[in-house]
Amino acid sequence: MTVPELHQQIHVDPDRCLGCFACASACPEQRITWDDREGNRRFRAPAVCAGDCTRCRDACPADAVRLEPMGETAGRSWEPLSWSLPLARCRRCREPFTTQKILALLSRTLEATVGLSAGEADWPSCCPACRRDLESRRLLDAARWNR
Amino acid sequence: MEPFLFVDFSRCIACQACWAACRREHGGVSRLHLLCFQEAAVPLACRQCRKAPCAGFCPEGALVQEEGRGVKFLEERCTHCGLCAAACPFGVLEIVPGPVPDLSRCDLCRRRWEEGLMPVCVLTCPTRALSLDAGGAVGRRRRAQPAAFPVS
Repeated sequence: MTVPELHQQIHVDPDRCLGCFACASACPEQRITWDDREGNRRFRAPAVCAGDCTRCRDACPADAVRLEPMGETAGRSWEPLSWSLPLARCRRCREPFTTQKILALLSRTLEATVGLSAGEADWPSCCPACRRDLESRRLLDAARWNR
Repeated sequence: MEPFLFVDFSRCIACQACWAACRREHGGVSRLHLLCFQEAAVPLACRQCRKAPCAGFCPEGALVQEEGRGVKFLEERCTHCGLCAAACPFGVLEIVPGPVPDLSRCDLCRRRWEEGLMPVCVLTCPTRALSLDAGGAVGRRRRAQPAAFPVS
């Protein structure tokens, strides 16, 4: 059996995937979904996608998505894709807020992008809500000194 | 010096007018965060960092520091991946969940700025606790003040 040329098989490399949601945001049919549950960010995607759209692949910042044109269906897997990545928990409130891989990449790149070593930057291990709380307390303390 | 939203905490009365004005201006999502403590309230917004971690971490170059205008968001480049939110040191760049997650970050009301208007929060604040510091006015004010406490 053959399927139209335009069908393509989706391959995702979970080792390359950072756990961001660029592919899910890019899909015009919203067929790539994700949720955060039990300490993991779980992704689901169809095995096969109809159309000549390559938006998920183009959006992926880690080149983890590969689209393979389908001619023959023999030996193809139609099983939907699912993969998951461990979430990082905030060091203050213990709530999960992003993936461990995104934080690791952030720590590695901060030196090159803003000139801060991993030891100097203390915020990546905090969730956004705790970053705001810490910052506002710092500002209040500073305002008290300046009064 | 890059322009930023300056907050004088001694003037803030925690009325939340800035937050409400921001929310109304930006389609129901306030880009300004108001943290309330017993003794004071702290409005927090994007600092327009000169070396902005969000801009450095964006894989698409959708956030750029524009000389004299703060951090500019180039929407057409954004893939809505959410990495910028992980990089913001102050937690003031947020991802608004939805089918296409959106980025919410104070841009000093750039559209109004281009029309020569002030940010809505600055206009709304009844006690003038918020001001747009575009020319180093805060630095000048600080230098004009005598030392607030003795240096030992």
